Amino acid sequence: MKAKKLIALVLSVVMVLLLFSACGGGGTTSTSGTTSQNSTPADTSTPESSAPTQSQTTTDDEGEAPVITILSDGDNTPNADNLVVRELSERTNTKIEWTYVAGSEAEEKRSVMAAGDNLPDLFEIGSLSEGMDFMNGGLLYDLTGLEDKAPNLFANAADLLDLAPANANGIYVIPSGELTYADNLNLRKDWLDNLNMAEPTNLDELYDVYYAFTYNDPDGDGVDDTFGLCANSSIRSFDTIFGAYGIPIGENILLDGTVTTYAKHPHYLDAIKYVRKLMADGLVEPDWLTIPNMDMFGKLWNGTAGAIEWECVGPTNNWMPGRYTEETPPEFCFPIIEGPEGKHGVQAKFPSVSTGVAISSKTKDIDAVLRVLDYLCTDEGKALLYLGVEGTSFNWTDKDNYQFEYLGDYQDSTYQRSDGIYVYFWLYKTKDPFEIHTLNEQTQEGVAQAWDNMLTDEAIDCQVDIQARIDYGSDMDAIIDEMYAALLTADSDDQLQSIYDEHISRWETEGHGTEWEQEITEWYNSTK
Amino acid sequence: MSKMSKSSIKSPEKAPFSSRFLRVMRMDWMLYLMFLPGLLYILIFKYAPIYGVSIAFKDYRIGMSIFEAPFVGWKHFVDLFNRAAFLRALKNNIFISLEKLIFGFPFPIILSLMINEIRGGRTKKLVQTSVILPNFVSWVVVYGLFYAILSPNSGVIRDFANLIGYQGSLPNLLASPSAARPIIIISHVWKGAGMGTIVYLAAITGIDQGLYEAAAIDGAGRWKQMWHITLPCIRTTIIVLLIFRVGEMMYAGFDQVFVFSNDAIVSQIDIIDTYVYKLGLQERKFGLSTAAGLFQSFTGLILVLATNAIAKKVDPESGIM
Repeated sequence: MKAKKLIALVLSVVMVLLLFSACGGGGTTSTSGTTSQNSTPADTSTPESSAPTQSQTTTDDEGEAPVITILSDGDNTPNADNLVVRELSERTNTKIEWTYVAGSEAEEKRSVMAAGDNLPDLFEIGSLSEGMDFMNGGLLYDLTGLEDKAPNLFANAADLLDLAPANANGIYVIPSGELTYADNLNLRKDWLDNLNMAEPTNLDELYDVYYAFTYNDPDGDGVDDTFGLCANSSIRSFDTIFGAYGIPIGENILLDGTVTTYAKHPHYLDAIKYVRKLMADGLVEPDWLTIPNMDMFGKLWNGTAGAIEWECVGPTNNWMPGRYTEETPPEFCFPIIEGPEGKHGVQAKFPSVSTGVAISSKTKDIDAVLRVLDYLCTDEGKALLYLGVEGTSFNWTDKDNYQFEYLGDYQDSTYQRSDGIYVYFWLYKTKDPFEIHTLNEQTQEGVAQAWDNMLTDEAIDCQVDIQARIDYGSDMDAIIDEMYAALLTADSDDQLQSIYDEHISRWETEGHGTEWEQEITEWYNSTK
Repeated sequence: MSKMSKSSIKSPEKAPFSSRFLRVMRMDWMLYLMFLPGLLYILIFKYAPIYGVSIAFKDYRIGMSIFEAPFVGWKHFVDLFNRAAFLRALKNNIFISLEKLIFGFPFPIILSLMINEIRGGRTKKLVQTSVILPNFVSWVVVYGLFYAILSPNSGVIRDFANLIGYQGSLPNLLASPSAARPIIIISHVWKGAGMGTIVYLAAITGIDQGLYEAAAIDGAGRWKQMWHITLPCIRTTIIVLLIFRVGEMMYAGFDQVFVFSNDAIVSQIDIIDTYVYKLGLQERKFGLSTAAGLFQSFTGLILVLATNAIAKKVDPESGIM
């Protein structure tokens, strides 16, 4: 009986303790032994109150390296303990705790952490609204007056700081100003050669190439197991085709003096009809609406598909040759496709001033955080992120011209990424991307060609906080996405106009598109 | 007479409640001690967070305390019901829940009746285990299975079509608006029916075997025994589970809809939970998403009370309260 009582007592106490430990978890321990959640709410209730204070900038009394928490995203899975993070900690005299999440989950993760008052020291700002929300909520550190603590960081962003909408009353977001990659049409050149076909230059020739890729056995194995183009539910899968009609997908355009969505472009339905013809004739991935991203890539990797619309960095560099399963890796070319009116191009990219990197207003050691961030903006820091540690993972063969070689196991890209190489750069990309120099010659040419091919004149760069967009942005986007899917899956071309009209009408009324058009056109006219 | 006898019997003087409570506590302190963690769990994780629903009536933004957020009354509810996307999600929610109720609720009952009729002990266990297994498969995996079967390019159906010599194109059912809801319902029934049978089989096990023997002597076959003995005996269990299920009507299955959704079918299957997820987690509109959540809970409560009242009216012994 006594034993029973004792067991009951012990079990109950253990359960209660577990309960309370579950309630109290979540805070990141700083070097001074307190948790970041212990700060009073008043400390961060306004943006102004996040200015550095003496207590916030003190470093650890015992001289231990301060713990810096970082959150970034990407599409790799680095080991928790890896070469890059270890080396970065050592070089910056910090203890880095780097959380890495999938790109699709990053903004949600930050939202949840922000709602729980648990943001890491250093993190990305992925959208204009996110930067504004965090800044207005007093969650971001005002870096005004701290420019001398991170000279490389501020040198990169100097001319961008005032352009960032979140920086109206301080320096809360450091824009990277990075110009992200534009898309190429990556076409199997070896298949073209096998079929004695020239690179296509217009939409008719492109159709002929996709047709031959699908029905003329381009790989010569005697089996009917190929098709023309990899695609998924993203309109980006047909970037070049929409570009041939002068449509900068995903961007705003100017139509009769009104700034509006690209979906209102007069040739939008013409582009849709062309894509429908490709689909109807079986030249495009049949699972395009439901295929997961990696499976779509897989069709290129295993020699099933002959083309993909994607930034060439994937097909000709990052996936080459390890991802390809054929005996001889494929060769690619990047044809530019002209439309009926001689137009060509791909989605325009603009240097981003609304996204970038930010520091939590609750950070305990701003000097250490800035030290880490600044180091990542040096050539040495960039080399660490992209190539790893000299002598361990790579050696320079001609440093002035960015020529290098990976060493031993690090020649395998999977091994590189698991040890943190080529994984963490998304946290903050500088204007002069070191990454370009790490690409092979063909890819560098492809990147330059894609940037030249952007429909910059047709698109309107709108990195601005528009109220209708803040309130109804996701509803507006959802209607456009649904329209795109409905048009491509319609039973016949005769239905297209009515489907289009119905969705555009919904976009204007239910999605508050008309309201947004008025607001953004006013803004555009005021900035002209 | 009865009045006299009542007054003549003196009841012993009752001790005050506090001392009676303490005495009971002292007597069974072990049981109360083991009850304590559960009580704390309910209070801390179920009741304490309820103060958060006040966000539905406040203009709360990230970084501010809930208490200091300004009160805005019904603003978020008005905004929510003015959004066509929310109304569509509400409509889908109701339809999907009703369809799940109509097709999904009777299925475990039928299945448990069928399993109960299996005489071989081993076969019975095998069938029971087989139908319960899908419950432990996550929705992501279930979607993977459906994709592997229905993919018009690489699915099992495609392979079968090739096998019989059909090379033409196949419809992509996972992206077909007309097939979207049936697929949601079928996958729901397939995954959940087995688990539902456990409760019914347990109730069936508790039925007095003498009833079946008496019925058999009176000439009742197995169908009549099932209809006149088994089903009436598990009626109370059916009603209790029906009340629970109706209470969940506003929750049409976030995980399932989230993984099955794509742009072609979102108009048919977008539900309140997926819409709230977009508002709350992706756009940080906490007031709106909390208002939607509160609306769901409140509607669920009303449905439970109404179903309970109807059940009690039909059969006073049934119901959950």
